[in-house]
Amino acid sequence: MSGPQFRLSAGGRIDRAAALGFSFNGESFTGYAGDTLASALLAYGAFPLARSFKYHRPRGIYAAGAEEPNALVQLESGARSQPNLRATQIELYSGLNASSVNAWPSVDFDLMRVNDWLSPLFPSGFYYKTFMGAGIGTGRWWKLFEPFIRRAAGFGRAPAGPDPDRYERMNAHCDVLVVGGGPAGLSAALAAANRGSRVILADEQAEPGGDLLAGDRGIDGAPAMDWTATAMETLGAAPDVTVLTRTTVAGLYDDNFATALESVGERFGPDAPAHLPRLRLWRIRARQIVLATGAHERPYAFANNDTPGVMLGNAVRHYAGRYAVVPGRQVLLGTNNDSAYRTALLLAQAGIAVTLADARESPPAALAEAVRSAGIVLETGCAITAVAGDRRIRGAKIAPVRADGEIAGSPRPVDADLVGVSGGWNPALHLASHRGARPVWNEAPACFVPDDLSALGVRVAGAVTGAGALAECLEQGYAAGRDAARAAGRTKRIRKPVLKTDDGAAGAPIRPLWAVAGRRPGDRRGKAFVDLQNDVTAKDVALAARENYRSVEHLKRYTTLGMGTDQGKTANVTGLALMGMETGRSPDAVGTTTFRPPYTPIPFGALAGRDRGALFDPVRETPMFDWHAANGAVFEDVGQWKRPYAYRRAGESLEQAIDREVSAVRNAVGIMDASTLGKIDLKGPDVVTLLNRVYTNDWETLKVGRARYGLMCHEDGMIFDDGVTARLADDHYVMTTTTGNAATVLNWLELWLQTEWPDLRVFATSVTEAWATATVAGPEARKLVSDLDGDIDWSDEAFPHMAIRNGAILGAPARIFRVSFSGEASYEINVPAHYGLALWQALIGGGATPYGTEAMHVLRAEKGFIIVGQETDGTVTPQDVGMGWAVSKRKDFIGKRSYSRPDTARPDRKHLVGLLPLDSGTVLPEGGQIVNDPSQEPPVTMLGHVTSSYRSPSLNGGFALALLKNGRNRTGDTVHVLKLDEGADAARVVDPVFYDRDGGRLRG
Amino acid sequence: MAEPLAPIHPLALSAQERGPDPAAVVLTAGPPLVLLDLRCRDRAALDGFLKKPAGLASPPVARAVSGARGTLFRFGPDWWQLRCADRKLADRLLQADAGGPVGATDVSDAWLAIGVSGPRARDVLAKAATVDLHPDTFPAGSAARTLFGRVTVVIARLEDGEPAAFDVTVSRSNARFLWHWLADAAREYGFTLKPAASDGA
Amino acid sequence: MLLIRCPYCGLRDESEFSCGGEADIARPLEPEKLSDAEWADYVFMRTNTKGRFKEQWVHTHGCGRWFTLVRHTVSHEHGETGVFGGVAPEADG
Repeated sequence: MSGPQFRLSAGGRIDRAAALGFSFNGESFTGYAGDTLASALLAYGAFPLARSFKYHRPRGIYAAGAEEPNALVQLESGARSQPNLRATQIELYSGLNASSVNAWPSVDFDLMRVNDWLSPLFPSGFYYKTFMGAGIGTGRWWKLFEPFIRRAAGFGRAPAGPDPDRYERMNAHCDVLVVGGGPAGLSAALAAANRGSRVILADEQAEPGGDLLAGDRGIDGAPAMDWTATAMETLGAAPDVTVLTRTTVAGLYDDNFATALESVGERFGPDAPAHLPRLRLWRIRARQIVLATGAHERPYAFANNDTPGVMLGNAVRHYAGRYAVVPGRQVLLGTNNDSAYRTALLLAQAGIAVTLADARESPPAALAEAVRSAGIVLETGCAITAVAGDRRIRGAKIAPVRADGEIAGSPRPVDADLVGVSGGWNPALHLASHRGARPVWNEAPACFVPDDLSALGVRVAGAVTGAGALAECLEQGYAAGRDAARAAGRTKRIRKPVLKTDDGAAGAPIRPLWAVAGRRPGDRRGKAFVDLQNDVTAKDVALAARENYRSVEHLKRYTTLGMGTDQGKTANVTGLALMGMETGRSPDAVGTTTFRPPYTPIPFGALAGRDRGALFDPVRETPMFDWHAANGAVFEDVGQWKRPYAYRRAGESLEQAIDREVSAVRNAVGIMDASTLGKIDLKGPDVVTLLNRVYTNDWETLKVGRARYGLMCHEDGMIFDDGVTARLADDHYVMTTTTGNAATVLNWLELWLQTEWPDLRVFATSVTEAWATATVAGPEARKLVSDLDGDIDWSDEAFPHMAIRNGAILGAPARIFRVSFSGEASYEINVPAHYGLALWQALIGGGATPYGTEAMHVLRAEKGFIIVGQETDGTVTPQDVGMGWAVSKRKDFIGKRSYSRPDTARPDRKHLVGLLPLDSGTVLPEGGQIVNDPSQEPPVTMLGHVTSSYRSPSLNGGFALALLKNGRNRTGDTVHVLKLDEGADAARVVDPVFYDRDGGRLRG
Repeated sequence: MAEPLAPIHPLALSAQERGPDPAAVVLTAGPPLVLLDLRCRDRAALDGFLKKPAGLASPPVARAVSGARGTLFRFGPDWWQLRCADRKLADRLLQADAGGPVGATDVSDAWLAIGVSGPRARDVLAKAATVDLHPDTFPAGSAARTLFGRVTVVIARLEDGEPAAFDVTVSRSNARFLWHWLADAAREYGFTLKPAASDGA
Repeated sequence: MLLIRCPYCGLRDESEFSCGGEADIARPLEPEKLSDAEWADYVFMRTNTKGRFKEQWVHTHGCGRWFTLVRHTVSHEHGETGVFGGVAPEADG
């Protein structure tokens, strides 16, 4: 690559003192601070830097902003690598390293170019016809072709390894959000800020100015960028104005919620300061929104209009004016409207030879005079019909065209190595569309404009309305900013600024022009592209029309028009207009597709923000957590809680640890951290009424100082929680819930208390975290707790099973439940949470063995105690699990009526049973399906499933709980449990209580 | 066993300083709280219940008032939380509630307070808080129970002053997670950690 | 992300709330007198309105109160709110 020969010797908003070296496709380049990757590359010429999606034709930089369809690059490598970034939006930094995304094996020699030469075989709809069509074994063909197609289409590579960068999210609130920092947006922000509004101005560029950044506009007799600088100073001095540069508003949502992506550390590359996030995702709640999002220039299509060196006309202007780059010596500009005249004049001033082909017969006299006197060749009534060349432009042709775009005379050659095409302007109405705006076709500028959204607090200003003149943009911006501020309640009166612009005399209307030739089946002049990113040609649109895919949705899916990462920013309207021409309709009659967020792609990292690694999800720790962590605990997540699953000692397997813990509880004493159990404090004279209504059993007989187990069901009669509730005083109870349901149960009580039974005088308060709970269980439990200094009488007579006591233990206030989930004598000792760790250490010091949740599961399953969510799944009644004894016949309660529904009353529902594998060495798979006959031909009759299954050191073998159809009537039968891979285990149906059936031990 | 138990604070981490400007954000672990949840259907009854012992009257919903004997937060029309200056007040109120219109429940150890102060305090909180913490909409005396990321917290601005200092109440189990979260979020600006004394008292 | 108007707290982010579905599903006073079909209608059947729809919401991570809210199920436009149990918002709240 020779030097940056296309950089103009002066001008532009680049810092020529700050040269930046970078690498592209392995070659070294130099640009300047203020460049984008695209402008720095264009300084070396308009060479190919990508291959097209389908035909793998060489492609160059086409635009100067977010609408770029071609120049997608892979930025950096390794874990930091990002695919499919637009070179036009990457700020240059020193050491930047980028490569092409869609070229195999390289941009210069692309094997897939064969697709282009074979293109008659790949017409629009090829994929649908080949792979979706009837008659061809779809699945088989797809399998054969998929890897090939995916590789051929491959847009970029995923990063290798975890992302090393940091990403932030920020919530913000404002009176007025202004999207776009061009003249309309700045004007709106000033009007709102001067009225005292809280304003956020978001602009996607490194500096505000929008179209003014080209540097060729004037306001009040001075360069327009002087006005921009003054505006920025004013906004910077206002106390409640936030100007976010490098920030793209990506989506607008209900109630004027906006998401915006700010590039923070990214512009420094891999050497960015470590404390800076790479990107920040803003979540903005705006009372009012002003959309000053501007417009994207659209091309008209002609033969080989994808050749590198063909660009949007206004992109040529911006590269020349803002970056001092003109990647050609002889420029041909094709236009159908006034805007290209500024481009022509700017280029001529820079000494470039320019031919301007205006499709209109009579351009405005003042403009014609201005360009002619600047030495520009003006061809009127002519459009570009074709360019010659492959990897770069070697000439072009122009000819008169008819109203439908067909060539009306013989084409004439024009010397050119750079072509700018200007077919009019498409307002960037994406964000308005997110809020539900309907695009309305506006004949005068020949474009879709958003309809009125002011009722939603959304206003539009500037080029997004179809406005062309700078004065009009400033005026609309001012009005929108003022009205938005007023709507947000900022009614301060401010004098309206009067600004004089360089707009000149009134212009002439656009002559709509969509494609010059290239549409007819027999046209051999070359492909005329409409959608450059997805390789959709004018001919493809015509084919879709002939095959009757005429609605916009069919057009889109049949041709893939607008389905690329650019969402067809330069393509959609042209495609619609061409379809309209084919079918004799106006563009709006064809219909428009709905734009959906995001406006430009958002990396996953920015969406994830801080929700990754250790901070992925909130962690809940009990007061004893640090002891567990320091003593070999293997944790399991129960909701957000970290609970010890088992405590592994050195040299012990997990299974051995669990066995040891179970044996300790059965033979000596164990302690478990039960702090996670939900605890709800219930106060008031009507608590017992509430308990009677939400639990299936009776509560009137519960005495102060005693506790009772209860089952809670939904109205469908299915179990949703269980737990022990104790009566602390006449009208003071404490309810315990399962760990996972603590919040759900409190919400459930509040739902009924607030909405259905507001007459009940009950106060419910969560005290789950106020207490730390240590369960002391085992035949030596009483001895251990009796050794603790305190005022509790632990004797069985004074403190029997299912009683509770308040007192002091080692100087701390304590509340003790004598309840058992293990089948052994067991005390749940509650102390204020800050004392929890100290209590735990005291109990360990007393000789207790800590046990985890898995040992607890084995112990309770041996007793046939259910776990809600394990034995139950929302389809299980109390009767199903053998707890009909806990269901009152006397009173009404939530769910009762459902037990007489025919399905719930069936005698052969699935029942909770025990299963003993015939081979005691087997542990049945949890979740395993139960069948009578494992050799039955499918469909196999399923009878239920294993809900819990463990190895028991006490039973010396495997055992399980299961839900089995008609199970209570099948005791003694042999059933088979299917294994996950193959085969089945035989098991005998037994009673679900395996251990200490008469319960003597827990009273011991 | 006779050695009395000592309370232990979960935020007793060693002090550290990080980031470009250590003064930008200061995270302070609050002392153990003496805290009562108060439920009552009738604001006047609540005022009557608190007037003599606490010297406080109910603020509007999502506000807090402070006095010599404590700070009274109002979460909802029928829900208050009282941070008592001492244990004596809490015990007195817990005894007084029996059978009356106010339900008082001791939730002292269930919650912890984290102070977030410094010139970038508001920015750190805005990274997860969806309530608007701008001084115009969140003046001194504001106290919003809200969702902070996926953690329920109470964000309060108890005192006047610029830059605003915030008091974040978080459940004990989530406290360490939130502490780490806030420190990580503050790294962009720089921060100082002021953990609790190791004995928690 | 919607803003939900809590009658007690004002506009708050949707994430603080839980939607409890259709409002005004009153629990039958004497369930045992209902036919199976009538009971099933109460337990299982809800209307699925396109348009203005009265729902009940709870401000889970805020004031903890349930309230009713008329919401347009297509545009999300808010209508009137209502309270339960006569717990009226205060003038200064």
